[in-house]
Amino acid sequence: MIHTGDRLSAFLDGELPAEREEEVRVHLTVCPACREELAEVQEARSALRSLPLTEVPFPVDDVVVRGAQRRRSRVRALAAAVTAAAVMAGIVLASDEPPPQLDLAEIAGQHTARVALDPAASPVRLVVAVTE
Amino acid sequence: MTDPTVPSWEEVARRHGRKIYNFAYRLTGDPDEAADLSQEVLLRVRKGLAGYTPGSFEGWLWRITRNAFLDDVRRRQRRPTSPLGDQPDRISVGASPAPDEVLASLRLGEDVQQALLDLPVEFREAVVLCDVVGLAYQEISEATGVPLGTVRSRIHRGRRMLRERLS
Repeated sequence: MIHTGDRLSAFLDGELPAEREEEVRVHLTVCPACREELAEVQEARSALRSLPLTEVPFPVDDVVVRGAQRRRSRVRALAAAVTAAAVMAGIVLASDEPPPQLDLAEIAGQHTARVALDPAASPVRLVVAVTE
Repeated sequence: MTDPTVPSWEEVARRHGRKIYNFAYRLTGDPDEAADLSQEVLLRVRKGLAGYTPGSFEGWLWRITRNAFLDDVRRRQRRPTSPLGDQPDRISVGASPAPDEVLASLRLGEDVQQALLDLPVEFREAVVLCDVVGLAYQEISEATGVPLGTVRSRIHRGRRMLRERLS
């Protein structure tokens, strides 16, 4: 006798095509072992289905706003840092100009800092390579 | 031009948020982790909706959900074993059900939840998608990227293991 195996769950879930379903139904009438297995998976399925579907413990439509706010404040912080660094190096940020490559060695002294400003990016991206 | 057949993220959040959260909770056993995971899913949905081409929406949504869960598992690299009910005041509220209501509802089925956490993750995922989320086998196959036969086998073996642990 060929037992039904995982076809039992598919049978329970209505996921078998009609002829297969009929085959399982017929088999179950003559096979107590498979009937028992069916009862087992049925119990597990019921236990899972009766788990409470709990409410979401945070306001769902607030999620994306909060995510966006987190990103915007990170961007603002970065922009502020860029501006501060530029001001300290005596550079004026102009958004229409092509990215200037500046060697700040003369200004900074011990350190060489190459600053590439990419005004096309939003926000302004500051790439600083510092070599000692 | 927005395709009227593609839902907005607000619609997705409203209609599916609860199931996404419950999927995350039943897979992790941790309300806080589930909350973080749900938020991550909704953010990814929002980003992904722009490029979404109409097809099987459920499959697409649950593929995102499930992948976010796997990314989370890899990041945390631990098996979730936290029992229910610790530190109720850590759940953020806002305009939502009171923490003790949420926990009261979570405490029901505690034994089932514990048994779920003992299952190998691929079986746990399969039975949760089938019996908690209510997806069809085809949708589970799309969400997980495994063939229908494998879905069927995992559901069946997952249920048998669960029943064994519950008895």
